[in-house]
Amino acid sequence: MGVELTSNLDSGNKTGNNKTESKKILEMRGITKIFPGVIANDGVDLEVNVGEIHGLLGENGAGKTTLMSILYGLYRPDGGEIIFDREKVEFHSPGDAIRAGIGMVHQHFMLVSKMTALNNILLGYRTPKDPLMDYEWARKRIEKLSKTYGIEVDFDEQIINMSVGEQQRVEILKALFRDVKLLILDEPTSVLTPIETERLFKALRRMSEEGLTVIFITHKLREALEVTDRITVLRRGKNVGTLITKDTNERDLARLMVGREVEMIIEKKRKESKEGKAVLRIEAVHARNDRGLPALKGINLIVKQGEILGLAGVSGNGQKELEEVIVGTRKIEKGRLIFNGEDITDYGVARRVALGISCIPEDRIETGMAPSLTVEENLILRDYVKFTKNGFMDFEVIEKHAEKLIDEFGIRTPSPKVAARTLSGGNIQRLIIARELSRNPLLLVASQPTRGLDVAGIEYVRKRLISFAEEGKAVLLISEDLEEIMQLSDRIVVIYEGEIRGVFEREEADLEKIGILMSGGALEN
Amino acid sequence: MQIRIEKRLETPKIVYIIIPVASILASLLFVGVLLLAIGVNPLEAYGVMLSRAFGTKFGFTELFVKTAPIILTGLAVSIPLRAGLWNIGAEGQLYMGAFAASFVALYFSPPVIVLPLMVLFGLLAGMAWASIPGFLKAKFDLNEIISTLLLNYVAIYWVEYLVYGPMRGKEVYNFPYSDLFNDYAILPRFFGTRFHVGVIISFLIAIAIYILITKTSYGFAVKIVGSNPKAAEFAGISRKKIIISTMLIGGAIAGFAGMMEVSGLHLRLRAAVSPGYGYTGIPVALLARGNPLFVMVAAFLFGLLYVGGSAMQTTFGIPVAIVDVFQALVVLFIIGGDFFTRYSISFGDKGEKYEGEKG
Amino acid sequence: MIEAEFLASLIAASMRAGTPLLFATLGEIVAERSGVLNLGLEGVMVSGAMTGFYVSLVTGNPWLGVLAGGIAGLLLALIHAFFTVTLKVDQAVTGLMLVLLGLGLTGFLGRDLVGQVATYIQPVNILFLSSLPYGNAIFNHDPVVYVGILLVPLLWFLMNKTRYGMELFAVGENPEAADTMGIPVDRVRFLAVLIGGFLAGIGGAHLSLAYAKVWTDGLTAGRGWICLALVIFSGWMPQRAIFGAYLFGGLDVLSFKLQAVGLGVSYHFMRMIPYIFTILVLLFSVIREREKFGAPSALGKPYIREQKF
Repeated sequence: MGVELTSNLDSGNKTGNNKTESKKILEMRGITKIFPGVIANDGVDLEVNVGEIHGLLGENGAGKTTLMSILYGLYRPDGGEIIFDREKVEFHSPGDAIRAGIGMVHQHFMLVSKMTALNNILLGYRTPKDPLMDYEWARKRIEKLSKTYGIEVDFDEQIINMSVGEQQRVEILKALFRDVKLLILDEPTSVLTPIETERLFKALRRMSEEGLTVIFITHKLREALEVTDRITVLRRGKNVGTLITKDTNERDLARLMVGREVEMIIEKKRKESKEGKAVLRIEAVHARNDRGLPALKGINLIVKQGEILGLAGVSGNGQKELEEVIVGTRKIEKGRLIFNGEDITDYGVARRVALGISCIPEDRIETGMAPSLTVEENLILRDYVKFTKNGFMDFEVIEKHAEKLIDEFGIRTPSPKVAARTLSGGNIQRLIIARELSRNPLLLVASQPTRGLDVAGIEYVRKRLISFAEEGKAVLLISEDLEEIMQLSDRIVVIYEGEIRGVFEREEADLEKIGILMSGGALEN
Repeated sequence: MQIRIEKRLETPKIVYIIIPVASILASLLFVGVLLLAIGVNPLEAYGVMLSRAFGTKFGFTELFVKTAPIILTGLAVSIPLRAGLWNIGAEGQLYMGAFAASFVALYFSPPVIVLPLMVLFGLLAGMAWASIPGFLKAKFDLNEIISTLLLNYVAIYWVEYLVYGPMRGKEVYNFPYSDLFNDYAILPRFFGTRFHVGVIISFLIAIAIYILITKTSYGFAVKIVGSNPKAAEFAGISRKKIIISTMLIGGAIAGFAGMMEVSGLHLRLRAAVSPGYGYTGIPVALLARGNPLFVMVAAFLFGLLYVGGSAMQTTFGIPVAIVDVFQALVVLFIIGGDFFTRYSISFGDKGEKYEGEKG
Repeated sequence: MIEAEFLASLIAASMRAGTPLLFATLGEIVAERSGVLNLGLEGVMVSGAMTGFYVSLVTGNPWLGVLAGGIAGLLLALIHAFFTVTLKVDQAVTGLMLVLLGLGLTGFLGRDLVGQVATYIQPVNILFLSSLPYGNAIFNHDPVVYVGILLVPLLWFLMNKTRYGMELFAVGENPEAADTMGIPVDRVRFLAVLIGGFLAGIGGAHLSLAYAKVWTDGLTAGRGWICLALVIFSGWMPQRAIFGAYLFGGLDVLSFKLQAVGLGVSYHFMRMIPYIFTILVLLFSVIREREKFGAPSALGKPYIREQKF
């Protein structure tokens, strides 16, 4: 034990002598993490100063979340060391990290949805009356924190009844409650409206003023530039540079992040005529969500030939239900669906597929594929009836079909016969797009089609959607990414709490107006 | 020191052979210890087991006679299992099949139609019994494991009621038996042994089911439901229809097993139609991973166990319950071993081992 | 007068017959709340029943028997915990094999116990309460019955008012969230399964040493499965489990009593009642609970942290 003590003293002396190092709260040196078949982090160094907002920028799959999960004790690194608050640390579990003073708000919130906000904040925490729950004491403490940072939540509400923005605030309070010195936020804005994002940034700046350090993971350049003090860019698991925010710009960051000059904007050519035959007509549709509550309250929409109709909104406002209503997996309570002039309200899924309705579902792995089936089988998942002869599967044709699609859509797989679950996220996405487009449909419902993809993948998917629409087909693009909606759509509609709140031609749409409608606000005339 | 568990990307083929073999050996060892505990020499016991099964014509045909119902119950479990359902009720479905077939055998005429009707009624009764949990699962999402299992008790008590009451035979003294069936209600036998035509039919059913579930669009739909019910819905497959239909097929096969046992073996309805074949179907289906061809192989192993088990009982007075122990152990060892096919495990402190690979 | 006596003895017998069910159901509630389904309850209970009987027979001390029954249950649960929590094996498969293992082992090892007479657990009068009207029915039981009753508020308190309960709940609802807050998911689950096995084992021992007062092959006769249904019926809440357990205890007893009274209904039909009734209760529960909280969200799902790749 004596040895460890001296080594701590040593490092203490060293940092004491060196002024620049004394400001550091975190140093990660040579962090390496290997997942089977993937090097997620390859000798990453990261230095973060006390009280700064440090951006961690990189494409999806660059290794940002892995690096932070290592720091938070969720993963063990295969190499490298971490110095936190002047001490060499080795976290074996998130519990260790929390005790050391590190908090993390994950991209997918780590909340128990059947518990109240208060119980979630207290989860695993030992209150003074432990093992009893000292709610009085906790309430007071949280109220104080709420005031200091301007983060408010309803303690007694269950998570399941909260909006995503509220849930995020619970997550942040959960960390602050534990007196963290360093707070990690993983893509915190991806689920927020522009207004909520502004509020979050304000809170982050308050934290920074109070001396708290924040690591802000993002792949959005603009946000990184707006809120951070310094930015570290990761590319393919490596640190490719740490920059001072005010000395850099979007273009440089983009080049660092992707490793080449990228044309970040792919825009759809304007449709020549605004008139077009309606492919899908949704008339006053009502539907309930899984919990039996009204999710769609009289939706009216028309998707026309040759256009991409963008549906903007924060997730959880009925987008998923709308997708399912069109696909046919969710019951319509009231209203009608007219497809190509035909009333399809009562048609089953298979019949709609046959008529030419395709869909890239929001939950790709949950609903879009059968993970234990092969790539080849997944490529015919929704069309398998077409690949039969007298009730028997026609394996020869299935194989040829798969080979063709794998080639055409560039699905990277060792063989058509491997289980689809072994594919990477981007390739699963390609698989689903291949399947859905290969049947030559008239309408494509694309839900969050680029979520989780890297830049090359995003480019690919967007180009596909555009060329599909330009062939005279119709696309309903459901996305939380406003930039994506703005770039691709001919028309934009905003959904809020199961209602359509506004329809814009692209030229008249602007971010601010849409942002207000997305948060439930009204536009002044 | 730390244990690291990581998912394997590829599993060496040899692992798939080593694990079942090692599991069987380990189970034999374990059971051997139990036998020692009650004062029986395990080697002697295993010797009796093998010589009974392979040493005599009677024993060898008996092996097939015991394997056949296990193939059927193995299939009855496997088919719903491919759709992600646990049919723990093959035992009850078998009893209901036995009851319905016996009913036909005892009360129907003319003789020519009795045997075909016994088959038909056996199938239908098994189906009807399986349709209850199937329907409850499809309609109310009622846990099929519990409902199928509980219905076993009901079916067994029902048959007991019959053989103690309305269907009790005239010349059976105090035994819970019905009267013996007439000749025309009995499955043909061969070689002067108990080897009956049902054995051959069982193997044929396994092959037919293999074709059904691997080659047809129905089988493909079942596979999708089993892999991901949500994806199945997305593919326009009615999960409810698959739930009910796989249960019905499973029930029908188990019902046929019941018909076969009374008509081919017992030649009457009795309280103990099956020594738990319905339950044996579960480990069989698991070992076969739902593949009907492997079901035949796994059923053979357990058939051997039953033949050997009764030999050990008559020779050493060892309770047949030892067969259950063996079944459970084999499966536990195999699924425990399975862990090593899915994950690789290494011991050691963090990092060091991988530092080398990095460079 | 006869009716009152009949009712009193029915209540008394329901409590006695319901106690094994109560213990096993409470134990399974704890295990399932952590997200681990133990379908092997039948095997666990029967092991407790045989071991308890055996130890009481050999030592002459039924309390040692009860303890031994608990330990036997714990050992089987240990297998389940090792396979499902440590090795992350499918919970249904392991549970089903546990049933076979429990029934097989007890059938094998218990063959010489059949027909033997052990020292049984004797009822105790609680002060003067048993002289009250119906007092004899409620206050003249063996101590295990009372322990079972006390266990209900105790578990309720632990599960709803303490950090342990919150952590158990979180692990069963969202193990990933619990993990990120530093709660050792595997340890919590392991422990919950062991507690479940211990209680089910005690339930089994009570069955052989206080209710059935005999050992026969497969003594539990499906009670483990009934308890699994009772867990659903009780909505994973201990305070509700006691009603279900006593109700089924009563049903069990009723079928014998009515037989004795001689209603002319066949014995075999009477024996079917608990199983059919269980399915009906289950049906009632799933229909009613649909909009409510229902099962732990992570029930039956193994938790592996590094599964993202």
